[in-house]
Amino acid sequence: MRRLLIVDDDVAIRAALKELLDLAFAASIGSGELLIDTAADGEEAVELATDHPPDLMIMDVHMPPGIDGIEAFHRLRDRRNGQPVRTLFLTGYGSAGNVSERLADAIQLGAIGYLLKPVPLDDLRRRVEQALGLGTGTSSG
Amino acid sequence: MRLIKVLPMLLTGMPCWSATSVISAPERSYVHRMWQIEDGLPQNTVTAVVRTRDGYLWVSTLGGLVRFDGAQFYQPPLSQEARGAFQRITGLMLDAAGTLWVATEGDGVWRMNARTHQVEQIPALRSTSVRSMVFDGRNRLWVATAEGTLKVLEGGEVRGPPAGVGLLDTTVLGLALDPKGTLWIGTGTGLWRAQNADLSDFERVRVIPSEQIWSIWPDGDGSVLAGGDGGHLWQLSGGTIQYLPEGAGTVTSVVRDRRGGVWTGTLDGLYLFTGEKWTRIGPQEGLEFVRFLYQDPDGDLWVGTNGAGLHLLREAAFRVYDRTDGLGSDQVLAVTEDRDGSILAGANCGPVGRVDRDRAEALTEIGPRDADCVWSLLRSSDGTLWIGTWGAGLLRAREGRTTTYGPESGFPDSVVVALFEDRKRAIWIGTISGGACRMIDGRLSRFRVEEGLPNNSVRCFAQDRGGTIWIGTDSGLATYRDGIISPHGGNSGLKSARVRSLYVDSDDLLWFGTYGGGLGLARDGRLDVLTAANGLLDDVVSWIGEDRLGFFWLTGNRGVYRIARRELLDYFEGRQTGVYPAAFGVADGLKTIECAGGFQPAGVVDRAGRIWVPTIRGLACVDPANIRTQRAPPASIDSILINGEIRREVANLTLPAGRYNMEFRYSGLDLVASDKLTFRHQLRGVDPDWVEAGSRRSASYASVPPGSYEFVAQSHGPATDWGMPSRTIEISVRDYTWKIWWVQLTAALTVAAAVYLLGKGRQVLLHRREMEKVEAARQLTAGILHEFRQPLQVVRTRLDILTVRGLPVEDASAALNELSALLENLERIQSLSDLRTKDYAAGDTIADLKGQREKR
Repeated sequence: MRRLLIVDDDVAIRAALKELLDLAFAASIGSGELLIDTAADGEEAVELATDHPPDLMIMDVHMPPGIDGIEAFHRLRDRRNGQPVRTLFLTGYGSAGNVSERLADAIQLGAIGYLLKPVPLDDLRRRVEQALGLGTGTSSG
Repeated sequence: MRLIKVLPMLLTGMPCWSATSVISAPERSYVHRMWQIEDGLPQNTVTAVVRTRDGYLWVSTLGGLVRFDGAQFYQPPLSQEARGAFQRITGLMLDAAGTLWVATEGDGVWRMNARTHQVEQIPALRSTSVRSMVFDGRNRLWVATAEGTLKVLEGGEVRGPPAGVGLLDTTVLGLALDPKGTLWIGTGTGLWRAQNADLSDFERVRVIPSEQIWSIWPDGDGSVLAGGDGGHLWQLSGGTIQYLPEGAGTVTSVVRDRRGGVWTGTLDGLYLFTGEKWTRIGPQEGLEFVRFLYQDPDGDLWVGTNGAGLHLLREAAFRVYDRTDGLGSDQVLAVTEDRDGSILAGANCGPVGRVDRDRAEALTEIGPRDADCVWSLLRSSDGTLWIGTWGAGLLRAREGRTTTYGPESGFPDSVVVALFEDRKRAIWIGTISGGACRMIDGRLSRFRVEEGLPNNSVRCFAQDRGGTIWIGTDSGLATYRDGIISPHGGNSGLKSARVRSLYVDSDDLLWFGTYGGGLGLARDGRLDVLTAANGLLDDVVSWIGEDRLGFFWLTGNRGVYRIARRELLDYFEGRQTGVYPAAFGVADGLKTIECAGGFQPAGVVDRAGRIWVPTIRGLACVDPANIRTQRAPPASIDSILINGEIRREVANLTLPAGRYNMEFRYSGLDLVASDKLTFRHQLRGVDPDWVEAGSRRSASYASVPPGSYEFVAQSHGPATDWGMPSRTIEISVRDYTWKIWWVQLTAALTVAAAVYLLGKGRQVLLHRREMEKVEAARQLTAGILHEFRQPLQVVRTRLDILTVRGLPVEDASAALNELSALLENLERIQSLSDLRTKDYAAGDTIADLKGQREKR
């Protein structure tokens, strides 16, 4: 069974992404073989991922007022003794401020990349297939 | 940068508005206004009046000469000598060039520039006591002196009649010149004339007895009116004599108005002769001892009195009939035209009234009991008079017999508020709570909510060309066709569905008036409305009528007004955002602006094209063809204050370099309804557009810097469009010397070196500040993008879900294409926000920034 964790503070985005990924991978993975969890902020994501490590975490970067997605990635990695969780970041901010530098650091430490919102389905599908070992998508950071 | 602020109004003399009333005379009404000391007049005995070409009225009193603009009396500054002389003015007159001439008692004749107020005494007439003066066609001034002598001023010299002419033996009381050039002279021994104003050819008019002739009015056709002692008025053509009512006294002044009426001012008051009888005008309004009459170029009559101030009489657009004219009540309700062209008027608790050729009467033999009120009237095509009452049901009067339909006889309601006859000769009856009835050939059909009416209170009916009957109720519109009542589908969208009036216009468009919801138009199954928010005078529309000049006439609680039909259609078809009604009020002859409504018919356009509307103070009638100009009077700039210093001579100005506080004082020359005028002004060079000033009559600007400016003002009346703009005043404020180009060039070269030396250090500072600004802008852009991207993520994902589900693929694909286009735009913005501060330098352009981005 494959496990996905979607982390976003926007409930509409969480619900829509969950429904989309369920639909998109139902055929290729098989019914009951893909479990998708959701979390509404960074702290909840750390707790869930600690208890049930996902095969892939799709996580928003900016989730005020708590810790942001990058910080959650680092805390989880620390809890796992430096072992990162495969994480695909989503961001609506682009590279303003120091976000791009911090994303680059996270990718250096094991995150698989980031996508700008709104995410095209093809990009998302390719990244997920790549992370779950379902296809032959190319890597990019 | 200019810093100019409009200051609050500063007026040395506030406008004064005297009371307006309406005086009825045979076949006409007059708007009457009066001004006395309390209103700004220097003194209550008015000795002469003349209107100069610029529209101002000049008024002489025993307290001096003043200029009047309809709102304010202004006393021009004069030398001490002139001020003293002008306390005893006996006459005012204009010469061919428009110069104002002033006759005095004891100080001769003066000439005054009405614009600059410069005065000059005529040396040849110094110390003369002038009784009367007149210009002839050769611009010679004829002067009758208090001593009885006649003098002629020509080329600065004075001549008298040749020796031997008998005129010198008597007292000269009055002078007049007719259009043919004959000079008429009223004397203590009768009327004299000089053909061609020839001093050597005087003759006494023998048909008039040797009595004192004080006043003369030469008609254009060679006839002359001459007023004498004892209330005698002579008409020279045919030698007729009219005797004024006993006690009228000496005829001090006589004027024939444009309708042929003869006005005489006497020691006992003002009288009007209209061909049949003399009517005394305005004794209650203070018109008692009349010193003179003056008819201005607009036909308005000015009356100077002895001790009772200045009065104005303007023939009113509206004639109002009330109890004093013979109607049974002042509170008129329903109004309709009878078969003979007379007008029938229902009354609130009184008999039906009739107005026929200016005679009003109460028809006591028909109608309900005294306690019942007539809310609706109809003379049907078979000659029956239908009377809808409040309390006694419906009455049918025909051939001397009256039949009553009330609850006791099975009629559904005792209150009937609407009557209408359709083209099949069916009588439609609207009741206050019993629905509508249709009566044809004596059979009565009843329609209520159960039959499809929106409400059982039915206020009005109309029929379109297709034969459909439209019914206005308290809950909207309904139609009747082929025996079926159908409520209108648009009723629920009306702000107020209480329909009070219906009108099918010449293009078969159905218009409806509501109580509180404005004027509506029913078209294509829709009900569109125009309300006060878009310029309608009142959201209560009690009646809608259309005249022959292309205007809709509307009534409501706030008066009678008209709007061009074209303008209404432009609004309803979206070509303009509002309308500009012309409103009528007391200044137009109405005794009140409040019109009666809530019943049908609440107004009528008669066969002559006249509009009749019921008001709570009488039945008002107006002939649209007789309404005076719909253009506001021209605005006039009266004075300019520069840094607090007043300049009465309004002329273009050139001012030395500096900043100036400027105030422009202006007025609109409407001598009757000046208080109803609103204004706008513009100081070009400062104001980008007109500044709406309301009733304010001044415009102030603070600290106006060097530059070129033009000031202009314009007035707007309640029943007019914008009038002619005032003359444009050009004001030039010279520039400072240091702003002259060669001074600037020299200074620039001198400073250049120092600037160069300081430049480097300053560049560093500027760069740092610039970078801070760019970073702040970048943060802001990124934040905005984030706010876009969050909802777009949801939209995008939901579309992807649709695509994955396969339903409906085309729509989802189209939406995705649109989304892609939007995203491309976002990416372009993103390309700027992605730049880093270190990527660019001060002075970089957008192209430079894009280049940096591409390099990265």
